[in-house]
Amino acid sequence: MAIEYLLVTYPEQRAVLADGNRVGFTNHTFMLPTDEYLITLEGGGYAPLSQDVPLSGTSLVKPMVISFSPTSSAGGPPPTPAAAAPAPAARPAGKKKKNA
Amino acid sequence: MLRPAAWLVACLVLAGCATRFENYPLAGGQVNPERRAVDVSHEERPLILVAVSGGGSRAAALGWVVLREIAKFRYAASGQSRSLIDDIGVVSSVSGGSVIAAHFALYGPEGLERFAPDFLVPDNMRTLGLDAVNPISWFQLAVAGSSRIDTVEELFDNQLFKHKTFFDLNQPGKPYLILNATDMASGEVFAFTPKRFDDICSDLDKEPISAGVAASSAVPIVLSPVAFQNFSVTHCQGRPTPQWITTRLNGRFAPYLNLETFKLARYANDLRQGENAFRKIDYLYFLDGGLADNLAIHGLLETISSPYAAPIIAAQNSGLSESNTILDALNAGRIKKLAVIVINARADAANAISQTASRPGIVEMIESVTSIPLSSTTSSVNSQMDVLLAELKGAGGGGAGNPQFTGLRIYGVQVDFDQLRSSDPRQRELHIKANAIPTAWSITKENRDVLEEAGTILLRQHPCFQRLLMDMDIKAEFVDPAFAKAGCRQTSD
Repeated sequence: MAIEYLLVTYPEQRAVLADGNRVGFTNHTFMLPTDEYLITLEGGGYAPLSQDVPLSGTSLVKPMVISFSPTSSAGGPPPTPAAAAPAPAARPAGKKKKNA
Repeated sequence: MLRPAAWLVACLVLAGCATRFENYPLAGGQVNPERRAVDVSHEERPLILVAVSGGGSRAAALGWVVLREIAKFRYAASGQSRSLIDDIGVVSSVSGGSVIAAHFALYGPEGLERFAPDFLVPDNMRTLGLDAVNPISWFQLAVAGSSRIDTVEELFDNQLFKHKTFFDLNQPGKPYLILNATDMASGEVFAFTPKRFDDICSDLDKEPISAGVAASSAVPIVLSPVAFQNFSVTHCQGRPTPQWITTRLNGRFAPYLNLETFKLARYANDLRQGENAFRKIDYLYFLDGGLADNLAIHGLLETISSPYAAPIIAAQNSGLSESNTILDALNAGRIKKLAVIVINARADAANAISQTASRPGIVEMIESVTSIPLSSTTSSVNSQMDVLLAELKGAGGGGAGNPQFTGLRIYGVQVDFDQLRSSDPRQRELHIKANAIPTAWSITKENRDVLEEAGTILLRQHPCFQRLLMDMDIKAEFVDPAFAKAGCRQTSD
């Protein structure tokens, strides 16, 4: 099982879902096995609704970075508790997919 | 009077006819409950995952020795003394290893002292009507009808599990047990876990523990396979396909990026008799889990991160829920120390084939064709675990994107007779003796003593076990700090 590194950026702290399961938090690099995932965020009010991510070829210093943006009618869930919600990484939001 | 060959055919046919299916359907619309969870709510505690290999009573005894040894080490946590054995969150096993694994999961550390008198001391081969240790002679007895899987199951039930079912195992506070069998038709690993039983719409709570252990240890040829029905169509028709299966089977990249998980999804879809099933599976026949992976590592890999992962219980402010996996807890920095202990009871007895001028016969060939692929597959799965542990260890050093797993420590401990030091006369003698212990359901007192001494030495002299003790501030006279640090380096060093 090879491990990859994914960083999902969003202006606020949200749980990140891979195939519907919570796997980490926005703005923190996390590990996932090499594979293809349907990435979404918990709650609503973001775009795009999902991203199909073929996750491979990453490293700890160069994670794959994907971004979600808030939509105008943002109606997300309450923020995650403070202990699990450190300050977001300083990356601009926007739809892009690249290695950092 | 029938001629011998006709007797043989008649016996084989009769043996194949009397199929007793050993599982029960789920009530309509139900799923199997999961009452256990791997506790990651205390960061100061290590999480220990254990795999116990196959090898008959040799494996059961070695697993027992190592578990008892782990239980001896205690540390202070939240003002209380706690044993390392209480930090074992997951136990995965095959074949002989499943006997001790299931016993430990059911009765806990307190039950370890009963294991020897209940299973290791009695002459189980006599109880089974087997008086030989050579698989070929077992075959002769199997044909005569005296060693079918029911007899083995009965032995496990009478001596160890006392008619208890997986309901008794699947209770809060108990370790997450993964008994692994091999699906005879597909060659896939079939684990006796709630989620896998959901796939075949079968009620795991009603399943006797002895049936799971027997399925995990149904040595091919010698024993008949354990038979199950797939109730997917009859009792769970119309249920939705989980998203992870759909994503893998329909994804453009999934079969190329992770073929193992793609095949896992395909097998799950087959068991669920889902759309575009690759195989139509109405019945399942289980053989020894060691055929697919004799170290039971596959179960640990799946439980770290896969749709079949064990649920976790985390601190309330962690942002994690029971739907999260061990990998998620690592990602969130909620596990600081992860130890994986693999107990390998493989015996590598010397044979004379390479010193014999005459061509090997049928016995030698059967032994080769059954053991060589098994070793090869096991080695492949073992490599996957090595890769995973190396990558997790590397992750502990931290990296880009503010990861929360920085500082993670990994301890990979493999207990293997080959690690006994040939430079030490006593260990060399133990190595030779351990390798000569046959694979059978009985073990002599002399051989139990060999395993007790060898297992204790192997665990204690492993640098990563020593390093774990050091990092937990557990004092032990055998710990050599320089050896432990050099042999089990961490990225945070």
